[in-house]
Amino acid sequence: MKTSTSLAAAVAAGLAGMILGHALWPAVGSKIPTHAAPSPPADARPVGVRSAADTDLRAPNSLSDQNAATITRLRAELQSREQLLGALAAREDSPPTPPASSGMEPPLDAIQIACRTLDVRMFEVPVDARQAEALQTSLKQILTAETLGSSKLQSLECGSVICKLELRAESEADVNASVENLSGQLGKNFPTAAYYRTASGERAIYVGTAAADLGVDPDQEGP
Amino acid sequence: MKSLAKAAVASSLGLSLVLSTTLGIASEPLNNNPPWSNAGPAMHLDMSVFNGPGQFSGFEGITPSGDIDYFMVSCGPNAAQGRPKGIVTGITLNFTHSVGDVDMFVYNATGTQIASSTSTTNQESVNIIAQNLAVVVVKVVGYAGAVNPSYMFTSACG
Repeated sequence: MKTSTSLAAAVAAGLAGMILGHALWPAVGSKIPTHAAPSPPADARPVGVRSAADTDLRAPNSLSDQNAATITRLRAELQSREQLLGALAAREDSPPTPPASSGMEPPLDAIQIACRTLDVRMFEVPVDARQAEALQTSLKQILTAETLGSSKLQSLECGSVICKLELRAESEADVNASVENLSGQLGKNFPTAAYYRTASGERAIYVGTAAADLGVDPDQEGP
Repeated sequence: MKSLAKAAVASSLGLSLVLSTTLGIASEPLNNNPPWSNAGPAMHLDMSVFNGPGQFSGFEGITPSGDIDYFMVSCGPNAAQGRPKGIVTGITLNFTHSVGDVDMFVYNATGTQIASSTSTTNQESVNIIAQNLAVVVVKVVGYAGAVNPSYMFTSACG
């Protein structure tokens, strides 16, 4: 049995954070997934949305499909490497930051590694263009103005089993509200989701079809 | 959800804690309407507090329909990893899906959602190592009002 002292301290710390964050918690009732069939968006996809499926959906043969998938995968890898190099350069230019003491604020390093890993994984396996298109179509139906709220959809990409979308809002509260809405709508089509805070008011969201799709260990994946 | 063997203590917040002596973890129904809840009196809410890795079962589960179970999980130091405070690396629920579909949503201590698992299998699981969090709050609900009187909650630390 754990000592009551350490438990009380842990509980006090956790509860203090929870109570302080009271305003950030949405209504409990609203967090129960409704799983109602979402209505499709009224207009076309938001500006900047792209996906692996978009590269060559009408390719007449499998060779074109493979080429498109390869190009998409290489593009994603290049993009993730550029992001990593940019992050490393920024870190070298900035003074060292003290390690997180409370564990409440995740260090960006681990988040960046996780996102890079998932970015690569998204296109690592041969992309089935039809499956990627189906995932993206399903996701678009969820991404209504009502779901997004005041957040803006910055990007949307889908591989065969993982989709990534990035949200940006004016505040943490706004993006949290959007995440909460989205989470309640993912339902059974996207049974696993991970939400990474990439900057204030910004989230990189990965959704998959199985829990193993999104498992990441930065200690193993890191450079 | 009801705790197992219990011994009540008072926390620094003046809340009544109930320790489980059976599994070395703590289970405490804070009250049926936690401070962040605006649920009505009919809403059945429970909160359990876990310290460290472990498994927990034997409580009422998700019942009646609309029940919401909350777990606050914290992890102690991890000397092997050189971490003065351990992190929660994963949460898993095991249950029989055919009895009732259970879904899981995971938050950090300030109420920001970090992961969810809403499959149609006998297990809901999230890997949250990269979030590097010492404390997480897990919300367990029945899908579309589903009831499941039994599930096992497992927390992993690193």
